[in-house]
Amino acid sequence: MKISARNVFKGKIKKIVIGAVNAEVIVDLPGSVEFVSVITKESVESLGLAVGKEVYTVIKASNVMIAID
Amino acid sequence: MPPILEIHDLLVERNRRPVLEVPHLDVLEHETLAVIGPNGAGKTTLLLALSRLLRPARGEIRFRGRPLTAQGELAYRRRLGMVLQHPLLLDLSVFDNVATGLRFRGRPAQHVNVQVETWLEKLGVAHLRRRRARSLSGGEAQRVSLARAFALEPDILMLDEPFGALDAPTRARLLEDFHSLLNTTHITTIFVTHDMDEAFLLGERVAVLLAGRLRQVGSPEAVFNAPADPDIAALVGVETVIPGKVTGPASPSSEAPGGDQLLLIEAGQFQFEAVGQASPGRPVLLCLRPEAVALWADNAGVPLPADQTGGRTSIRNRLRGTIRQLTPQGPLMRVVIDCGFPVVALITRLSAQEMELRPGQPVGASFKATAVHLIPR
Repeated sequence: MKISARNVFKGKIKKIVIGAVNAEVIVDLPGSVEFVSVITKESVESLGLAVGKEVYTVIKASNVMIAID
Repeated sequence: MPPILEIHDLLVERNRRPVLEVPHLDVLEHETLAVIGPNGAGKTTLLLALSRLLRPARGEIRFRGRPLTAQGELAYRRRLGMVLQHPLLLDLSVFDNVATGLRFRGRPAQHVNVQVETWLEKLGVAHLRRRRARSLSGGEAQRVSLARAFALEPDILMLDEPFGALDAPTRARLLEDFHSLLNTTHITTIFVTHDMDEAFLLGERVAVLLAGRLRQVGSPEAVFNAPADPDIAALVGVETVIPGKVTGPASPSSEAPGGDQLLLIEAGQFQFEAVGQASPGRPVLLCLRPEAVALWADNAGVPLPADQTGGRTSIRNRLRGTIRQLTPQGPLMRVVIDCGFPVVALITRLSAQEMELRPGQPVGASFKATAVHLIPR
């Protein structure tokens, strides 16, 4: 393991909503799980992101919240 | 809904020296307002002034639209419930401690019984009802003190570091119970603390007092992620502060008139990208919370960050540095990295172990452009 972020999931881009500065990237994961990522528009361009492309979502453990019913 | 308390131009002096200045602060009906600040910042003084136990040198406090000075002191104070860091319990039974305030208010015995039992139950101390208050542990005593305050059904609950003197497990349990009581009763609460975790958990809004002055009021997200100045940043745990200068938008396409932009910031030999608002040439402080920094094993020659995916990432800011210090913080590890200036990262201990992080080791640090908060200098 080379990165300190503990949660890395492989998925496929379902949708990209480009805003003025940021872009919302919706990633489909196996098991009907959807992750939403907000990254800069520039990163969408530099990574060549497009719907259908396989990507990894990377989340730091300290950014994961837990809720109960 | 109008504010339940309005504070205007408040000045409190001690020995003719100002100890608290609040230009303006509203406390909203049914909200939990966390008041944070280091020791000696004026937090307790604010509670004393709001409860009329201290007379301000200047200014006005309004309760439900009427100045406090135009209301009976006792009648006003009976609208308040107070809980202090060290519970002041009478040398009576637990039951009588909770009942006393209600009896003073002339409530019928039946009502007193119901209220006392209800709130001892809700605070999980009903089994202690016959115990002498002085025989209680710190945690139990604080639960009784909270039951006493809640039983009065006050218009405003004021708490002064109520969990400050408790050991960690006792504190965690009480904090959880107290949080759910606030969520069910929706009682207006002013909660003074120097503990940022408590403020973040309980506060619907957070007010920051520093050196006797109200410096920022906002949502916990606003105060913790976008502190108004470097002093507040230091208080709320923004550990990396890098002075720099805005050189312009990162690309022409990132110009959004009137709104945020992806900005390029020059700091010495480094260049960063941050989402924010500032005009070119503007000196800024680039502020970064340690939780926002991810670390990468630095393999010489491999462009950062190269992760296990072998690819590139959306992260726009990458630095190389050398680990200076590793400090365990509960399940987390605080890592100080020398990148020509100190960068602080908070990662899990598990990650630190798996990456075999050691002082002196080269490492990559990265953070998102959206994680950066800019303070104009």
